[in-house]
Amino acid sequence: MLRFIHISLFLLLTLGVRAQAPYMNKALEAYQASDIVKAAGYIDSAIANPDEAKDPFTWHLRGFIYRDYFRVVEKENRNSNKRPIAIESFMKSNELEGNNGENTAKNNSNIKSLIISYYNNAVVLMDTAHYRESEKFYVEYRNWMLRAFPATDLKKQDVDYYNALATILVKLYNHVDHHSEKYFDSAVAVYKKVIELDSNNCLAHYQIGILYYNKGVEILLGLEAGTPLEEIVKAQDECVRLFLISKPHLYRAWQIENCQSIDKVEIATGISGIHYQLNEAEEHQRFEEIKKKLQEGKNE
Amino acid sequence: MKRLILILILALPNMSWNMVWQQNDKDTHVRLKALYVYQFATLVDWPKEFKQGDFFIGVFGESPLYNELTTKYSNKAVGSQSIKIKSFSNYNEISACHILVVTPDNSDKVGDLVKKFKTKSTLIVTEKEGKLKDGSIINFVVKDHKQSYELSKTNASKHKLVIGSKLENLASKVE
Repeated sequence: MLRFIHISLFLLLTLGVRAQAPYMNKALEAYQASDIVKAAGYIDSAIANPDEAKDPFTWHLRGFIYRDYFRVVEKENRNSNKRPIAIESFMKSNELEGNNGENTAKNNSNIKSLIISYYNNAVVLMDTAHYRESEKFYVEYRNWMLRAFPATDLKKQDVDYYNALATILVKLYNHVDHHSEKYFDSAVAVYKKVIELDSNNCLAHYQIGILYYNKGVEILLGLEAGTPLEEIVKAQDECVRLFLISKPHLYRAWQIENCQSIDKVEIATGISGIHYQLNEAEEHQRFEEIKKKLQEGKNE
Repeated sequence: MKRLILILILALPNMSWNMVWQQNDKDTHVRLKALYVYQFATLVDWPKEFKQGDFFIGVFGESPLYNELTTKYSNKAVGSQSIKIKSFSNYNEISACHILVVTPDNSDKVGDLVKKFKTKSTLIVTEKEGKLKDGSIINFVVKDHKQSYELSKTNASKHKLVIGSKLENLASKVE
């Protein structure tokens, strides 16, 4: 962190003190003295002064001051309001400078690294206890990225992020609150979001297939000895409904070429299982054989 | 940035199929058939002389159904009769049962079994298409992807068995 401050001070010193910029100069002095809080006070006064506020360097400096406020003073507290101020300031500096100004490259590099820090927060928080907060930071990351660099293509990152988020929801459903429809529905909804972004995402198709398949199997295995006849029939109706939702997703995963994330044997196992559950003996057998051949191929 | 993307990918836990159906003790088809068999026992009325002593359910042929019935139902009762599960591997050793489940491999013996237990009020349950014609009383079938059953009231009456209305109403076919 000290290195960052050192580099930025070096940059600022080369630019020198500016006339007609009393607050900015005081802010610079305080920043050079590593008094970031004081520097922030002066630089805020500077941007309130119409003459100083016109200077892209005022905003550039404000970006550095608030960046270090966030990083050093607030120790990268993820809820700090200094981070967005820093990004806004660097962006404003760019806006006033126009393209390829003297500070543009530095502004962009800082904007990028601050925005990426939102992504880092989202990744670190991706667990069963903090997934909601994680999503909040991912959305922040996305919004800032698209605002600062509108040409950025976030599709792949969105797909990776939402696949990971859905997996956390599946984890919650499987291990924390197994009877919670909330987690089941949320996981399916997030996987569907992934499919909307990338209809060829075999992982999302496969996972939806698994969720519905397992739910059906669990209903059947949960029927206790002595379950009344009408309930057996009703449970089967529900299971067939679930298996019929699972089936096209598994087939879609099977058909997708170059599926890196899931082993073909796993998908064949799933399809074989779904045919078994749907009492489609021939197709079940066919996929058992496919599975066997795939396994033999792997062992050779 | 690359490192962070990698973290995300690593965060994806290994998901695997619950291949529970592959194991006999957790086979859903077997589970359902056993559930049905127990319902047959409670929803069919046997003549008075068969309502005393133990209630015998036999399985003729190799089938995971025997284990499922033994594990889950041998401590249950039908009315005041305790359920006993029997397994028969060949025709000659089959003794009288209240319910006799005949596996598909042995379904060609249904006609002989009907004759053999003509006076015994044995509810013969089969698992192969067309077996009601051979004298079976209840036959497991698959309908609309579901495990179901068809029944013959005519064959039941020949063995002095009365099929309950609930069992009749939920059958996929009644003859």
